[in-house]
Amino acid sequence: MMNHMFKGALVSLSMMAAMASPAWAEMPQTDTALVEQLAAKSTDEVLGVLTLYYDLHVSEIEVQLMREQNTGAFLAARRAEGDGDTAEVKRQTDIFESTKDALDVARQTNQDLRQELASQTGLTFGDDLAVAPDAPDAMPDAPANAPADLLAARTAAWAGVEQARKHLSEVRLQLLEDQERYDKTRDVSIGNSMRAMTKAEVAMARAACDWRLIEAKIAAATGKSVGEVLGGI
Amino acid sequence: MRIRTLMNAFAALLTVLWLNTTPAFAEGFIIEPLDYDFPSEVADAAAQGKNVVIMFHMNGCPYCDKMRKRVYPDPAVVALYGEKFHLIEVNNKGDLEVTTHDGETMAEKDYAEKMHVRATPVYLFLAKDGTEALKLTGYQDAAMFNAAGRFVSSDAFKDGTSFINFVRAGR
Repeated sequence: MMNHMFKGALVSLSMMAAMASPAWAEMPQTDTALVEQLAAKSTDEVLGVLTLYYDLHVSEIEVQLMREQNTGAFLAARRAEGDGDTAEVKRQTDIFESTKDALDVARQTNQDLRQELASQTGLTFGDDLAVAPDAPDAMPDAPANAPADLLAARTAAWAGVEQARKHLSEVRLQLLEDQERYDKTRDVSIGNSMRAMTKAEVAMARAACDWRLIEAKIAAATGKSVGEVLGGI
Repeated sequence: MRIRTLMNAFAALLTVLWLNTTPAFAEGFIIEPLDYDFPSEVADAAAQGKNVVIMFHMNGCPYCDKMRKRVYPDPAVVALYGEKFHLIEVNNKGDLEVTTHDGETMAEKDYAEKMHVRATPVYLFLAKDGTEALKLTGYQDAAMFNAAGRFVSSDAFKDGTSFINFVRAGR
């Protein structure tokens, strides 16, 4: 009886262990989780993979933006049809077609990034990336022994973070105001405001990813652990 | 006794393995009720110290998908909404029969019309007594969605403060 119970338990344990193995493991949702799984790679290889990984994060929101633009054009064309405005129908249909092409390109870029990441890491990249990487609230002190070119790139990357963050904050408040007004009067297009928000999120993700990549490069150049530096941001 | 200890240790090991294999962004606050009886859902949630928020959505709505993919999994959202809310989705064009938060029985699409839902998503936050606390139309990023959650769960809406002033005050 006990033997049977233990055998059953061992089978369960083996199944759970198999499920916990890297082949089944969830796709890394953060750069630190990714770097952890690249322990056997050289620093240059890690930096190459990180570059692609950050591009994938940005691409995820770009696909979203293209989808929103395409849906917006579709709905605008239908509204124009309802209004009997043939010129506007033609204009919006043209926009719909061009945004459809842009959406196809964005989706292909996203797939290409996933395939390249899989090929370089041996990991699977089939899931959506949920939360884009962020940058710190304030610029941390620069390492004293960092190369001058990387320090200059770091300063430029931080300026990008501040600019993107300020813009995102303004767009977020504008969206909220437009949403309130829409609920009261419906005389404002919240579709435009929501797309502006997504565009600002793309810019924020790009800026934060650029910042993190520079920090990773400085870590590598100064002999620090890339994973630890990214984990500390 | 020794066997029981061994089995307990085994169960603990299995639990640890299960936790390690569970997706990191599981959203525990999203509820799929059997009968969509909102007064009953509000009462159940209130008994747990939680509020109900209804998401009116539409198939193909990119902003609804964005909320599900990029906002609900945000760790800060999971933390706040997991503790304070039950979120239930209602299909803007759906035929499923629901009992609305104020006790009427109708199809989902009629509920959406009753609530003047046009653009989606629309979030209808309900107070613990089932009355309307806040209605938000359109995409909310994680920071704004959490601000809405704080606005309702802290009862800030009860003193007449508008949500936009609540946000501007940095609360």
